[in-house]
Formats: sequence, structure tokens, C-alpha cells
Amino acid sequence: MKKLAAIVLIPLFLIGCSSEQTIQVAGITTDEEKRAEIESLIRDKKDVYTGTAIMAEDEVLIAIQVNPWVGFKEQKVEKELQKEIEEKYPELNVLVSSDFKMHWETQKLLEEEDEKKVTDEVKKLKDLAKEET
Amino acid sequence: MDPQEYQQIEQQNTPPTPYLKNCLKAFLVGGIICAIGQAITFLYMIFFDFTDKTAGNATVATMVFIAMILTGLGLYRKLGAFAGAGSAVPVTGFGNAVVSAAIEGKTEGWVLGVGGNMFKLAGSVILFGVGSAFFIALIKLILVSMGVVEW
Amino acid sequence: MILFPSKPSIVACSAVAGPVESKSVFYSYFDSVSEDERWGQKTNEQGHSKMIQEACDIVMKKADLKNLDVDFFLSGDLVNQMTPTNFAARELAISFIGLFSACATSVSSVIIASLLTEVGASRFAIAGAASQHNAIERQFRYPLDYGAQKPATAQWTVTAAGYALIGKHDPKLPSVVAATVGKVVDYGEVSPFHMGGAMAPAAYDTITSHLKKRHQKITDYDLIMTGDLGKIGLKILKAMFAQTDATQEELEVFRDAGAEYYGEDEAFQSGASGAGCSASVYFSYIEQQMKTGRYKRVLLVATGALLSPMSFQQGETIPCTAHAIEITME
Repeated sequence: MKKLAAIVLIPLFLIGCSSEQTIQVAGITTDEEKRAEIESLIRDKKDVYTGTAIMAEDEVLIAIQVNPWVGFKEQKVEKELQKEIEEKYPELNVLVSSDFKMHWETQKLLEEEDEKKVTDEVKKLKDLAKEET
Repeated sequence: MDPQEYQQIEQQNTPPTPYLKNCLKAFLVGGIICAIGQAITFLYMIFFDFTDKTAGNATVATMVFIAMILTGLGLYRKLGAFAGAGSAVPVTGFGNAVVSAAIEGKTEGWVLGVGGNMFKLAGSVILFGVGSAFFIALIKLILVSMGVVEW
Repeated sequence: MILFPSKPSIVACSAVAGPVESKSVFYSYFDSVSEDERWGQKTNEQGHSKMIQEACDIVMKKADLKNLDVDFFLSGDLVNQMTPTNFAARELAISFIGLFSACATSVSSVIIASLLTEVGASRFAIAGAASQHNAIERQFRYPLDYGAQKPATAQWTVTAAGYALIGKHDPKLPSVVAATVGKVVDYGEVSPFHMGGAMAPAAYDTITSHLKKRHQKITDYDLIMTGDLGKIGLKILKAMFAQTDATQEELEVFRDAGAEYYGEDEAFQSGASGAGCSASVYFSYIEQQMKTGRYKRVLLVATGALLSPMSFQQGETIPCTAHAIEITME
């Protein structure tokens, strides 16, 4: 019984406690420099453990997941990041979201090749994120 | 025999409430119920256009619906007898309180029976829930305007 | 203490129970067990009433009597204003007095019936009590389907009715020779989920007072059976007698209908309760055991907790009573 518990629990602890950040940025038309810049901005936020940025034309959607321990600060982190990116690139239409739905959808968009489809999808997701009820 | 002497005899012969065991059972069942709720939230988010924010309402509705079915089948009573607070504290417990009272009132008709009895148990939950939410918000508003915390 | 020199007899008995009670250890002694908790009626209260009627019909049939031959109907239940009993009395059309001693009504009604027989006012009187689980739980506790955790001291209200037909003395039948009407005793118990603990002092008080006035010992009885103290309540009662130097042999005389009702099934926690609990055991199992001669002298002590849902919400303690009848078989 104890052995079983150990087998089940140890991987959980290992996964749960890993401080590795996974930051992925995708954008076919945007230049490499911008992508790297945004990636480093997200990476600077220590509380973020997964960040996925989708860039399509002027639209940028960044989905972040914060560490469960600071779950309550989720929206604060979200706002800070949004502000930073907006200041740096006022010409871009940015939305940073900590919503799990955004994370899920952006993960799928990473693989998408069709530029137009990505743009439409990003616009749709942004509308969804603003929905209140 | 005076009352004090009797109290002693009574206590010696009454089995103690197994608080630790009850807590563990409540923790386990309550946790399972919440895990099911979380799974439903994810299902809504993955298969439908719900976000973290909007999936909450749909999940609560679904959980209350499940609790309603279980109450009607007489299964929630058995779960409650085992889990105690574990099944009473999640929103399913609220659903159970509403539905069980409504079923019981059925024999007195729809208006006075079902309508009048429905919130017999859950009514105080609503009252004190709304009341305490108001006061907590008020405290936070005061703290924010004093500059102690941010929204 | 009341003595009955003419020794009114228990002419016939009936016990009717609901579906859950088919699990009871006394199941084989019951006259009829319904498969429907509501006896085919629309509401629980109507079913309750129907159950009382059925029990009364059976007891009259057993003695080969019609309702015109019965002079009094003495009964009670636990629902507000005793409507199930009142409605059953409407159908029976027998002179009726409703009695309320909570779960002790099974015995208090027999005491009144024996008195009426003793003074010659009654040839035959039906006495007893009934309770229906759904109707009573709803009134005293939570809605039926509400998932609540009950402590180990909680008891299960039975769905059962027990009635006895009290008539003139017959040496071949069990007869009521003496009775004690209990005082109301309150030792400060407040939990409606610990009835056994609240009622045990009342039972103790009534039993000791009966034995003292009759100049008897515990061992003069083959059996002293309390109504619905439950497993824990019975333990407390025995501990009280042990405190006053009762021997192990004497303690063996005590039994409790509620504690034994559902056997060792843990789903029923401390055991059975309700007015029908003592009534359906006394007026089936005990009567039949006395007729076969297993018991010659028994003391039936029905206990009742005199609370209402409002009284314990207002923080009142639970006053309890116990009534006793001494039944002998020649």
C-alpha cells in the first residue's frame, strides 16, 4: 500500500514542483526579433509557468498559466504583462489572458499554418475572453 | 440520582463522535465531488465556447442538476449519511437541501407546498450567504479607499 | 401506582408494519406488513391513518367483533394534533379519546382502557399507538431525502402500529394487574438525536417507583421491556441500575424493543423509535410469548420524549416520561 502510494505520489510531486517555464511564441508573418522580445517579456514573469503567444498581423493573444500557489494573483500578473507589452508595442493589439480556455485554444493554434484562419480564431477568442457571463 | 451523576453515566455509555473519521470521510467525498465539478468545467471549456469565467455558471447548474437526480432517486441521502459535510458543503448539498424540501412539500400542493417549503433549509444559506458577501465587499471597499490593498 | 383487582385481559392483539420493518427481528410476529410506505394513499399522513385502521380492523376480526361492540378507542400518534389517529377514528366510528404521551402512548392508552374496563364502563376497548417513518421524520427532523449525517445515538422512527383489545378478565389470556403512570423527568438532555439518553432517567424513575410500591424485586419479573431507548439508551439504563447495586442476573431481565427491533443492522444506528415501535412489539411478540407461557410476569415500560421541533430550537431541554403496565399470565 505504501509502495503504491509512493509510486503514485512521487511523479505528482515532481511534476507539480518543477519550476521549468514553457514559453512558446508563434507567428508566421511577424519578425523574429519581436517574437524573441515578447518571449523574454513573458519569461521575466517568474510566476508564469506556461505562456503561449499567438501573433497574427497586428493581433496578439497571450495565454498564461500561473503557478497554483499564486493563483489569487493571476489577474494581477495578467494586467502587468498586458501593460508592459502595450507600452513596448503600442501598434499591436494585445490581450493577455490567464484563462484556461485561452491556453487550451492557443496550444492548438501553435500548429496552425493557415494565416487567415489564425487571425480569425484569435479575434474570436478575444471576444470570448471579454464575455462576462 | 442527581442530574450531574446522571450526566456522567450518560457520557460513559455514549460512544464518542468519531470526529477524525468524519473529517476524513468528508474530505474524501467532498474532494471527489469537487474533482467531478472541475472535470465538468474542463469539458465545457474544451468542447464548448466557455472560458474559465463563464464555465462556472454552467458547471454549477450541472452539479445541481446531478444532485437533483440523485436526491430524487434517494441516493444523496445515503451519500450524506456517509460523507456528512463532504456532501453538504459543495453546491450539490445546496441543491439537495432545496430539492428534498420541495419533494416533501409536494403533498401540500404546488404553491403552498412546493413553493413554500422549497427554501425551508436553503433559505438561511441564501440569506447569510448574500449578507456576508455584502459585508465582505464593504470591508474590502473601505480598505481599498484607505489605500491598504488594491482591488 | 394503580392496581386492577379485576385484572382486565388483553383479548386480542394486532401489529401492522411498513416495508422497512420486514427487516425487523419481530417481522414474523406481525399480522400484516405493507409493501407500500403509504398504504396506497396519496400522502404519508393518509397512509399513516390507513395503517391504524388496518390494525384496528385486524384486532376486531381476531376477537370476532364489529365496531359497534367496541366501547372505546384509545390511541395516539406523533403527528401534529394527531390527525392520522383522529382520521382513523372517524372511519372506525367508535367513542374515541386521543392520547399523547409521545412514544409512551402505547402503554398510557392501555392504562386508560384497563381503568375503563375496571370500573365497568367498557366491555371492549381498543388501545394502542402508531407511527409512520416519513410523516414523523419530516415533522421532527429534516426532509426525508436530505443528506445529513446522524450521530451513533440517532434512532430510526418505525412505520408500525400496534393495538390491543382490552376486555374483561379471562384466565387463559395475559392480564393487566397493575400500572404506574410516570412522572415527567428532565435531566437536561438537549440533543434530539440522543433520545435514549433523554428517556433513560424517566424509565428508571418509573421502574423503581413501580417496584417499590409493589414491594417487588427486579427478578420477580421474567422480563422488563422498555419501549424505545435504543441500544445506547438501554446501556445507560442498565448502568443506572448497576449504580444502585443491581446484580448481573437482575440486569439480564432488562430488554428494549427499540434496541432489538432491527437486529444488529448498523444503518439504523442506535435502533428503532416511535410510538409504533413499542406498540408493535408489545402487542405481537410479547403477547404471543406470554400466551405460549414463556413469560409469566412482564413489566412493559414505554418511554416517550415530550418535545416538539420548536421546543428544542428554542433551546428547551427534553422532558421525558415513561408509563408501565404489569402483565401476568396464569
